[in-house]
Amino acid sequence: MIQFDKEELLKIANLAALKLNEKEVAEFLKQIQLVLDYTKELDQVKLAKEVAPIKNVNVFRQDKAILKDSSNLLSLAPRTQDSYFVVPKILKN
Amino acid sequence: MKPFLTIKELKKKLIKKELSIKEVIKFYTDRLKKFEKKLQSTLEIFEVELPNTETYDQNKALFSIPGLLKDNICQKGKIVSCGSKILANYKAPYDATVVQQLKEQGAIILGRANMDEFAMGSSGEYSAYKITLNPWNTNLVPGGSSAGSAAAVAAGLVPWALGSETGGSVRQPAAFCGLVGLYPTYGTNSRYGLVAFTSSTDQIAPLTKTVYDNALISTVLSGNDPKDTTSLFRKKVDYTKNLSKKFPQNLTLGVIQDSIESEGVDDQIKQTFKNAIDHLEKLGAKIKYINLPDLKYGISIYFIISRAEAASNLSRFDGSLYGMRVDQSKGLKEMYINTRHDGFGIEVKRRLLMGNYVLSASHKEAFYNKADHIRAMLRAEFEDAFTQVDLLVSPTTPTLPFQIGKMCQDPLAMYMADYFTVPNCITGNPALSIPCGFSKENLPIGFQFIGPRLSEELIYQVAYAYEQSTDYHLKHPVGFE
Repeated sequence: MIQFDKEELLKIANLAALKLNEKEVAEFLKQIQLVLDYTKELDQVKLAKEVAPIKNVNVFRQDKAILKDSSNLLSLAPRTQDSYFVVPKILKN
Repeated sequence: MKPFLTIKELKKKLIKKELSIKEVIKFYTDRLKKFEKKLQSTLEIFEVELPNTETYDQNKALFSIPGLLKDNICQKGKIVSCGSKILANYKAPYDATVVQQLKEQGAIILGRANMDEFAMGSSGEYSAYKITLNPWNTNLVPGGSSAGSAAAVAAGLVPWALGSETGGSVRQPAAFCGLVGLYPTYGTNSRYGLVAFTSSTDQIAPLTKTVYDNALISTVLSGNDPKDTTSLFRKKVDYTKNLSKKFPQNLTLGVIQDSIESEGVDDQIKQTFKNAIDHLEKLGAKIKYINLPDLKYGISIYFIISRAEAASNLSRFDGSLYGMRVDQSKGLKEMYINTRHDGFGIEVKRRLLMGNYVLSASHKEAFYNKADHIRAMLRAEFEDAFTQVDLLVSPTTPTLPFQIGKMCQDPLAMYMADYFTVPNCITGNPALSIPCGFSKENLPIGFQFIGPRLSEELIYQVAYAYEQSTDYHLKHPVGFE
């Protein structure tokens, strides 16, 4: 069984920018543990030394600026001022 | 006008002027409205302007043919909510490439179809808005995540709909609702304007009543898109061109051994699938039984890869640039957390947590890197299988459509609904689910053809010949006349 405890769950919740109440902690601990344990079947797999990479090609576009009206993107934001997105203050006074 | 006309039949009647364009658009808009209460398949039904002309443009493949789009595909100026509260009022600033392609071919988009939040779910129950019901039995789920798309087409509320598939989200609901559903070779259809869940497997694909209709929509969606860097460099392909009732000669089909032996597969599905194999043999297919030892690891690989990519893709929803924001927050991080707390539903949170776990520094090697390695091994295993057989076949789902509410308390059991559809998604191979019979409770059962990369043409040919020798596609759920 994979070691998955409350401390770890709260740590990853913080990484995921999520907060959990006590009920969610209890449920997620159980459910995520089950799924993680399921994936442990992969430990049985004898890993091939070499696997063929996918044949990828790099796709580039021209390095050219395209001027577009930003107002319709700004209009989607919860808060804006002039041509800026407004978020809560991150610097102390 | 009769319900349950296929696109092919509709076009014929429009060309012969047995039906008018206005009549067709009004008919389907009215049907969507009439049965919304009963099925809950849509999040919005558009008031489409009726065209001034009645001149039929035969050069356009979908001229005046109405359909629905899953609500994670951008339509300029329309809400695209992804079935989530966090995007409840988000209006798409541009058209997805598939929307442009559909419009160019004259298609009429009548609304937004309900879905599991951010395409995470196999039942439609994880939508933040409503639960879509299965038209064959409204106590059961239609499958997911393209739940509304599947239910609406099955009930004849529209002749086609687009869904998106990451691990089974088109084929599984297609099987549960008695439809044809495709997962194309990864890179075939543009993802530009599709809200990302697992970028390395996400594909948009059609749900239709028949193989011909499905091939027709796939034809419209095919071709390279410079706006999607994972789009393959291919010209448009006409998948309808070589469809024939004559079964392709010298065809070898590989039955995936695991799929008929596994205890997790419902007995009625096993039997119906075996009957389909016998039928294919009678049509002239050579049948081989194939063992794919790494196939069973598909679901584990998918658990890890899809959650990891979701954790990364969904980090953009934080309340700062678009979508919902919870404003009574003290600082920036608190604003992110409060917004995501109120904006995301339970399944999305579950997957984001797991994604962050498998990507975190101390676990990345044991989970993500290992899954990625075995994913490449599975890809090689498929390639090897296709040196022995032309296509693989298996049931599409291990179970029949299940009761609403039954699986929500047991996420792991719900995830198993994707057991047969996940492997080819993580390897990027195409597969098509089509109906092959009904259970004794009169519920549809589907099976699938899985092919080598870019074998859609062959898959459609085989599926079409099979379909034309059966009558499952001619049956419809009752109560939607």
